[in-house]
Amino acid sequence: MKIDKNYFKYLLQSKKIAWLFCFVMYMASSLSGYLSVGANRLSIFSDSLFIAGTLSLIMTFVLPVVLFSFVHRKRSCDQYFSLPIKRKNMLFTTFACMFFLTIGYYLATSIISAVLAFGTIHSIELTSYIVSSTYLAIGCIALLLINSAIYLLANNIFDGIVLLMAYFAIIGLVCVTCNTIFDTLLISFFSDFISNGLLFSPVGIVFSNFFHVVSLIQAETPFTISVFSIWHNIFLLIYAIVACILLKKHFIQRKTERAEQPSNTFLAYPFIINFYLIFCLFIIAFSTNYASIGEFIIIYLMLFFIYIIAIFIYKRKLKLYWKNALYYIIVAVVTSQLSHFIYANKAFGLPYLYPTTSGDTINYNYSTFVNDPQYNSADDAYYDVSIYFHLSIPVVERNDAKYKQVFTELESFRKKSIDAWFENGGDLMNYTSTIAIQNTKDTSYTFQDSSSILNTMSYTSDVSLSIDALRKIDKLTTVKINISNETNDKQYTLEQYIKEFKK
Amino acid sequence: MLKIDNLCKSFGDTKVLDKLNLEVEEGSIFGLVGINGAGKSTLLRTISGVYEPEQGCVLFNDSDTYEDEKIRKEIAFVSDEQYYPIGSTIHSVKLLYQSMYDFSEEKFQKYLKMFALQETDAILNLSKGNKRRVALLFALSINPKLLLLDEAYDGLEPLVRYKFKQVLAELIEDEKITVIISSHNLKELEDICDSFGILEDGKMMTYGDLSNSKENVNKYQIVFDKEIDDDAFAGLDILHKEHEGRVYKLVVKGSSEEVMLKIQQLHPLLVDMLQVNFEELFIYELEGRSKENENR
Repeated sequence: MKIDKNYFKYLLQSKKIAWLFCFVMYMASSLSGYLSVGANRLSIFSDSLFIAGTLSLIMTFVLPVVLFSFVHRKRSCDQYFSLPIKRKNMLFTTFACMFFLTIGYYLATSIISAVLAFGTIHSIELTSYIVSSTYLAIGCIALLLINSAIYLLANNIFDGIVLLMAYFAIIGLVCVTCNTIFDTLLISFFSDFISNGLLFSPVGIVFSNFFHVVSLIQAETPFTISVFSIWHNIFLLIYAIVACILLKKHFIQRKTERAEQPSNTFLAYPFIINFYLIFCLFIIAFSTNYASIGEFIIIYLMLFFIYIIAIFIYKRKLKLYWKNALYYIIVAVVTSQLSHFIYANKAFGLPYLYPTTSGDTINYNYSTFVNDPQYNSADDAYYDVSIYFHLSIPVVERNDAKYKQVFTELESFRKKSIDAWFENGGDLMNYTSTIAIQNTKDTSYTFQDSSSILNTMSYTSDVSLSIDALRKIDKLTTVKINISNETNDKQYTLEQYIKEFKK
Repeated sequence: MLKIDNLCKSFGDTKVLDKLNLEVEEGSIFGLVGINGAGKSTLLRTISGVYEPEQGCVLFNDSDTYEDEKIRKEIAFVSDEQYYPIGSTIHSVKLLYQSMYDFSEEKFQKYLKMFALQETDAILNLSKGNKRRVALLFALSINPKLLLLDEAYDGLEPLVRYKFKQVLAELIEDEKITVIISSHNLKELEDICDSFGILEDGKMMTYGDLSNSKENVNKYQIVFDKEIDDDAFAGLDILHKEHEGRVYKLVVKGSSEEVMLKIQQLHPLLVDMLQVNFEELFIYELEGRSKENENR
């Protein structure tokens, strides 16, 4: 495999106006900050790297569409595949051209930016700049491979763009689905599924790693290898390897006659449509598991309509195939019944299994709106009464005399909240109290962000902690009560409240 | 020389080329004909390396045209519809051919003038005929040894066609290039081709020297003193037969002397032999083949 110099030269020369336009766009958007008088040049330098890097990531989507679209037209296939160049060399040369443009623009812009910021960049920032640029180059190689492979799954330009968008969003869909399912299984489980999950998307991995290193420049913080997430980058490597295999099949071994045909290779529409359908049905089923299908028939009908449109886009025929309709009904029923089954069995006890022993500290945040008779106000006046506290219990001390009673009380309350949730049919409309439980670890820095949160659970229900329980908690932390009406807003401690308002 | 050996190509379940064999000598112009959908364009695309053969091979000067990318430098393929990016001019398209082929600027300028085109012409604004000229311009400018024209001849006005024929004749004589032209305009092909092939059912139904083939198929107008049975013509390879009363018109394949001898044995009152043209040859060969298939 080698770069064909003549073809490389042709690719650059044939669209030189477009490449020039891109270059101007890079310069204008990245370097315009230097026009501000008196601005912090180091900050502008960091921003310029960020903007140029982001543009390069966008280019990894655009360039495969521009440079591989000849494959999707019969006429251009005749012209390009009869050229005196081996297909693997054509692929490699096109890839080299895309990489040259993607990183070339970034380097040109960043070097000019570095010159303009000269004097403010020290060795710490320079190291971060070199590391971030190197990482961006590697990331762009991976993204160009992945996006080219996805684009070439299709048999025409429109489908190629649709597939790029679909695969771009697919991790997000998985995260939203997991979030929804865990919401049911673990009840209001808040676990950063979406923001953590997006870090498994190729562009998310490259973007977040690159961004973390660039942000060190502005913070004037030395670079350390812990900035990079090894696991996420292993995933990126796996994606890139899979992309290489797909590129071999869908370019080097591609049957030219596929051009302008329906995109019916397995990983094209057949996979994408079914994948999106199944996951969307899971989202609907688990979001509405407390109700019957009939109550949400309109949502199912809307999704069916979208499904038919997707089939139309795939097959280019506006026709209802009975097999598709039957398939939809079966999957809708299965996902709905699965959701009901899990709910009816209280998610097989999973919600109760909160990992209270992880990390170093269990943090409780409790709040409730009072409509519970045990907190009756002193008179008939209308008040908004809210009770809240924050309590941190070291994990290793949770069974010690100091904390044991409170910990047990809170665990019992958590389980009552879960029971109440299932008894209410998962309907949160009548909730009055929320207890959020968060385990944290006392380390200075992990990859996800600067916090050390391990997991968070949030239970919302219509039960509240009793006064006795609150009294026990009040010994460890201050339980605050806020009472407000149209004219008054006052905060009390628990004992003050009991003395003043308890009947 | 172009040699095609047991070539097979299918699209899904449809077999388009089925163990096709063909040899075209260098320095000849080969007319490729067939009904619509016979597989002419598929064959040309397979020869030019656009399609990968499923079985068999296409060798040009002993090099596989699909596997060996170097030999494709000597092959110019002009498809029936060409691709030009939006906004392209002759000058901008020239870049591709200059970069990838053995491009001759001298020939380019010569043919540019001959086809009455300008380098600055925006190709998408040109008429269909002029776009064809552009395609031919580039095909001729890259010094091809094998020129494949897929209905590229059609749509050209008579004067340009005439000039193009002259160019082809010159190239054949001076550079011994091989030309394969597919067209439905058999009258035009007859003028220029020295060999031909009829593509039918994925195979070359017949191919060879055009003059010899035409000599081997003749029309006979015969008048008898009474109507005679079809059995009387047994032993003759009849491609087409019609009669009105005692007057018979036959198209018979075979040596004219032998056929005349057999006809004379039937004691006709009058026999007239006429030569067929290429179009008639094509029609009668296909007719004869379809009758054979029916009789089976």
